[in-house]
Amino acid sequence: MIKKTLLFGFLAIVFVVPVGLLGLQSLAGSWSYPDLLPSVLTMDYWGRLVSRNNLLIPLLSSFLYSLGAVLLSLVLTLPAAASLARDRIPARDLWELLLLTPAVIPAVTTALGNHYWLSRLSLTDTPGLIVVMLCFYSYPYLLRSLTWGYRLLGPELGAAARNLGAGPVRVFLQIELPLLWPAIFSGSSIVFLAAFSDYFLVSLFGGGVVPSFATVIVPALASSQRSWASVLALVFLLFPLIVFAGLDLVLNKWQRRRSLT
Amino acid sequence: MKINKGQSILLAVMVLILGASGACKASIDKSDVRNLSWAEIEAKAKGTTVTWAMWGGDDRINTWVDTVVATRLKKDYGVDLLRIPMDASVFVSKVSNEKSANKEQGSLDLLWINGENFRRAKSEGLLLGPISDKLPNMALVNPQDVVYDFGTLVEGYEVPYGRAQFVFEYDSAKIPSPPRNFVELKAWIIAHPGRFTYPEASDFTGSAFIRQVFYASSGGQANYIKPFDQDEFAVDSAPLWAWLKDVRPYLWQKGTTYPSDKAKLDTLFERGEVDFNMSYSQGGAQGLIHAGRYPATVRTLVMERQSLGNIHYTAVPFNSPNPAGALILANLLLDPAIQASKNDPLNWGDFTVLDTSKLKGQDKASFESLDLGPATLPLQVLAANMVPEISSSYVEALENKWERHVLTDSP
Amino acid sequence: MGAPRSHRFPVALLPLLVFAGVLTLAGILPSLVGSLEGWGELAADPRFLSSFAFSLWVATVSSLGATIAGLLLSLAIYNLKGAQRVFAQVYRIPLILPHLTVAFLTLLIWTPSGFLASGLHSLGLLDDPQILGPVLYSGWGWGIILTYLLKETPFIMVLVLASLGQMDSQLVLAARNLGAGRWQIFRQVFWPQCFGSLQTGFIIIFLYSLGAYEVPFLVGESYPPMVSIQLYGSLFKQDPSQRAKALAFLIVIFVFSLVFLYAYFRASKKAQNQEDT
Repeated sequence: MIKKTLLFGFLAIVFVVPVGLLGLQSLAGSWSYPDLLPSVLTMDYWGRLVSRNNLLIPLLSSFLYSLGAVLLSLVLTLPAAASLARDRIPARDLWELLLLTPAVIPAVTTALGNHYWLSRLSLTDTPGLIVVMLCFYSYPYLLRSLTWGYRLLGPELGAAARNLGAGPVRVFLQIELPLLWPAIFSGSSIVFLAAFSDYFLVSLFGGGVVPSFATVIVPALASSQRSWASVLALVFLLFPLIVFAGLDLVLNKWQRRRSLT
Repeated sequence: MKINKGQSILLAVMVLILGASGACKASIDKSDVRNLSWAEIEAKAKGTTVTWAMWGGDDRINTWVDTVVATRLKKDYGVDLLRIPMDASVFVSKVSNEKSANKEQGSLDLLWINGENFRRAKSEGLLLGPISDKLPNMALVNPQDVVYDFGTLVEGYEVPYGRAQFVFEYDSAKIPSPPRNFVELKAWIIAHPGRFTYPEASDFTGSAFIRQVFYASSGGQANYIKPFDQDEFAVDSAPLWAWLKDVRPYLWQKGTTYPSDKAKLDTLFERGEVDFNMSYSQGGAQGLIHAGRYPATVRTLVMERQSLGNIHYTAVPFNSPNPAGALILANLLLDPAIQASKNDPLNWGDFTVLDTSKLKGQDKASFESLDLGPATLPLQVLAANMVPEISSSYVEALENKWERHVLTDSP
Repeated sequence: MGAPRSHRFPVALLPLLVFAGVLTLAGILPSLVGSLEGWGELAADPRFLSSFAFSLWVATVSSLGATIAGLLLSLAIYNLKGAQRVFAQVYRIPLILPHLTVAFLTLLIWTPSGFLASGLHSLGLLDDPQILGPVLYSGWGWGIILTYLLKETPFIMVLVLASLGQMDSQLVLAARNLGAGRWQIFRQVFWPQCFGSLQTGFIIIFLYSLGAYEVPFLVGESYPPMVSIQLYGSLFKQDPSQRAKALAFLIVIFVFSLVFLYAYFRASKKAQNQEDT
């Protein structure tokens, strides 16, 4: 019993309290050592969120380019994952490893070189490039997830459907997609999150010109204005959360309607 | 297994979007804005957006630009303002890269710049100019003030914006009789271990602090009007490194680490972890008292005859997509009402670059009626202790060598 | 998508391969070319070596720590049931927190004027908050390490719990019934089950924490700088004379990462072969 209490206490302190802190700080008018709780509570900083209308565009921009990164990643990785799962490929493990490297080798090593030639071609400072770069550095998570999903799926169902005369599009959409859905969702969530949270790549390739929520909150996080920074950090956190929750709900409904069971 | 038709279409769409967003810029206007009359420039700028890259480390300045300046720009000229927070060294590198790449249309219209960043930009041909002669409000500026910028000839390539002077900020309730010069400061630091620090040399404010110690430890600023010489500098800077190394063990965190920028020093001062802050904004402390971030007992001080003063400027990059809008904005920043608003500690507290003797009536009155507050030093005191900046070659040398001598402990 | 075919090399892999290959090669080539004159200078400049050594230290400590903590926590919660199981899901919270936010939390909690100081003071355990100073400012990167620990431990846990979920729970019971001690059970049952995912997880977080920018930017000390800060500062904030040296340094990091990754690949293949035999 003691062990369990210690365990749950530990989990609570390490994983829950920090976020609670963030919430508390966002309401703090004044909070400094040695006060355990803020001496003044205020909604001012949340109110500022509403009055500062220059936050909406960066938020929207971050959402859109993260979505773009997910879509591009899906297009590129779906066929590849299916192939890795099913086809007989010489030195398959090596190819899989190679394809995973962009997310593993530190991004800074290739990003700076890519920035060099891309800026000479005048392709930098555009949202399209940000989508491509965010995709490049995070598609491996989706690839891993999809490969696993395809392996679990196996080729039999698809083969059976084809034998019954279904074309490849139908096989994909009606048979494989519903079963792949968990893998697609979890991989895409990671890509979306990585893209949405990214600061380095977006400010490097966007040149500070493409709006981004991450670029907005970094100066605040580094400043002395901790309460305002906490408000921004919570928005930064809640936004993807709402996106995932919403998506999960919508697609579970869709899944249920089209399910084979 | 092949990519099916649906996926091919999706892929093609993606490629198109990427290409389109790259190509989707207004066609480059080759006509030189400097050949136009002011009325033509105003007409050309109307309805456009101006992108202004400026240091974003002070939220009060950002708010003032986003509210006061942007509103006035829109109301009087029909121009929208887009502020991009970016360090000067970063945007100079950016424009420099664009110049080597022959990128004729960049993304920035106006830059907030001075000092070594201006020197680099001007020498590499990164700026559109001369431009200041085109601006009507330049008539309100004393031309003698804007001949040199950190030793580099301005020649109209940048437009004055404000007048900064370096001050220290401290809580007079905690420190009733603060140090007045660098000898006393050194003694104070040693007597109060862990209560003082300064930003890293790569930060604008930290660099300024080090420069002032440099002057004070080697006979004063007047010695450095001579052109920069590597060997002489090595001799001249020895007392500086000695001073910094002597105080190092008594600094915050025993001098093993320094706030990486002014914002981090602000945090330490506001949270009571150190007892001194520093700033180029003469009136900023009063504003922070009003904003509730500083206690009402905070005051500013300058070191005797060692307070760096400079003028900071705006400039237009050679590949600005909207130079007409940039000129309109640069001119607006010199408008007396805008300058007075900037001077007000409640907004920013940065002093005016206008020659107030050239102002009349309401314009002049708006400056005279400014309440700079008890935390701001009287103008005479500031003027009496001001020293000008030196050649930016010294600035770079000091920044480069600081890391080697003070941070990593080479002799 | 249909029956497996044995092409010599499947066409379906090509788009992704080309995309990744081009951006990787094009990403490293300009730096390689630009670095040619910098190798001598790099050898002579101790700052880069310090930066690399420091980054290796931070990456190793935080990744090993997260791996061990992740394994232990996973073992503690993997067979919880009901309400306890639901509560234990809180471990996932850091997964959705961006690295920037976790770095900010480190500042809120661990600075001498921060929450932990106030907490300890209220418990009567702390007089001078400056005792906490070394946590973030000692020069050993504890601020960065603590941030990565909080962020990466749940990541490891996800991988390990997935592996444990595939394990036959009867195995543990059987081993216990046969009188196996806890260490033996760990060694013979849990460890083989988790080893693969631990290895994968470790290498991902190790290389990430080695080269990432966001966290050191917010909580790093002045010296030594992490690799990413050193590179960005040299290439974007200093004058162009530093470029060649910085690019040479970049190549070093890249090659190191590749070698490290390949070594892991070989080691895991070996382990797999040993398992199969």
